Amino acid sequence: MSDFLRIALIFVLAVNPALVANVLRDRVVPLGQAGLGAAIAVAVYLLLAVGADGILEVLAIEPETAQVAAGTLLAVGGGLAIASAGREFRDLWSDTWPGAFPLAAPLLVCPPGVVAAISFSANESIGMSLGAAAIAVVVSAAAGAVALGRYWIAADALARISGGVLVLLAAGIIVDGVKSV
Amino acid sequence: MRRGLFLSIGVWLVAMAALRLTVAAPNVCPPVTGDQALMAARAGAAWIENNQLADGGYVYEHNVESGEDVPGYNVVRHAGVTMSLYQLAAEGDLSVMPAADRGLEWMLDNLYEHDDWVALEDPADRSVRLGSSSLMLASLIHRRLATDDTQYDETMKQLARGLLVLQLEDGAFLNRWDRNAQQPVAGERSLYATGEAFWTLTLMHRLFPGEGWDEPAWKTADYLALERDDYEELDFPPWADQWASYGLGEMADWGLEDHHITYARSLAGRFGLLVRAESQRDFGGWSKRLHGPTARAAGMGTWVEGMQALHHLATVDPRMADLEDDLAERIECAAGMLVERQWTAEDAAGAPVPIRAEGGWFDEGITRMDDQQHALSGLLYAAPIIDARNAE
Repeated sequence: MSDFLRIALIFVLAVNPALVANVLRDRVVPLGQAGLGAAIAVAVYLLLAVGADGILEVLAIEPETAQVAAGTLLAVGGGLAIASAGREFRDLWSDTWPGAFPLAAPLLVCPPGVVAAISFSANESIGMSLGAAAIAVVVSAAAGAVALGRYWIAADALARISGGVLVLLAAGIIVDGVKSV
Repeated sequence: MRRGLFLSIGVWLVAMAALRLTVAAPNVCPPVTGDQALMAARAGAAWIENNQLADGGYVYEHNVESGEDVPGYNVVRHAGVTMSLYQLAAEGDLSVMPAADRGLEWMLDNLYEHDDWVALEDPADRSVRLGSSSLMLASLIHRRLATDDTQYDETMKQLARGLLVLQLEDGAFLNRWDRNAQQPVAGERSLYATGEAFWTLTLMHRLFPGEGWDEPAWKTADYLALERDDYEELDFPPWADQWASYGLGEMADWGLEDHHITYARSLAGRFGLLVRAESQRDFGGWSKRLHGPTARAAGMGTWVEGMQALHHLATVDPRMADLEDDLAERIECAAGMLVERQWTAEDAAGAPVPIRAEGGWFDEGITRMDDQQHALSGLLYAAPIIDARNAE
């Protein structure tokens, strides 16, 4: 698997389209709002990717140290997805700007996505990180615009499975960080 | 449901706070120049010179709070300390030669002779160990590099032959020679000394090419790269072996195989991790509880020694080239910490015995002679790398 595919997979699992769909299973985000949410999220990830080195400088941590921390936080995100599949977000809704809230934040721009954007931008490349983030955001925003109906059970299960896979990949990120110079 | 949301936010906040206090604590690397690193190396050498005993030995251990020397001695460390002085001489500072030669005389007075080989024996228990002979040989090699004086060439070859008596078929070395049984002590290997012997054999090949010293070095390189960590049953390999790194650095243009490079890369990662972790520590109580105690200079010095050798390998071998900048950055970081932690004349003025304090590195009030040895060696080789980094 190429570096970009690996990063894109981790990003997709971090943002977790199935979890987004499961959270919004009783509602449908209109397509225009979904596009707005995706645009906001990509803009935020762009800022994080470009500012990753500066963020690490402010925190005074080396990119390799950040990689270990990011892996740990991704594992936490995966663990939460396994435990709840996003249940805690299901009451969040805005009738006027659902694309911004809850779609853009806290679903598309979520803690695992934020740490992934910073770590991958600092350790790999801004372009790869941003490209991977864009894929995860578009897929997840589309998932939020789908009416699930009785298929919410599948989304719930897939969200938890995605969390589990994320925990495994996060362990690999931690090991890579520990082995880095 | 709101409770779940708050619980989720709480989990994230706790996780981030816990990370900030532990693995994501700030990496603090004191700024340092090449000149400062070199001056610190020379001050470390001055500690060794100033604390050399009349018989050519050195003050082994000193408690800076009580002002008392701690009894004990270690022949391997004697050889290592002497070698570090010769390393400084080989880099151009011949002022340390008299002290180094007195240290050498001490070793020459304690040679064990057998057939066509010699070894350095411990005068305390008359044991003949691989590590002491290896580092005595490294001392003589660096003396030769510093002076071009050939008077000890035959001794070097005898010492090297003594090492080979202890080498096994798989490239590993046994740790001791049993002088009563007149044979190596079977089954006893040393985690440290195999790397020491390996490095000195690579250096012997540099001084005496064509005499075949490279052949046993290759065997040991394979053992270190492929088998040693398994044999030693290390829980968290690779063993942070600066001697193996020195040897691989010396072999940079020998045409190393991929498994040697894989091993070298793993060593680089291990040294890098150790430096990153150390840069998150300070002398406060909280730091000690959360990150463990600060490393002693003998430890930190070995990390810099190992990394500088691997940095050299990275400048020569394209398979390591991507690590060159990262290694230089870690070397600078560790050197900065070493310089910051060294006792200056001002620090030493208040010590009960200032001459035992100035230029030394103390851990919980104690310095051991190899603290100065490894810090000296590391800083000496770090200086040009830091200079090159700062010039960019």
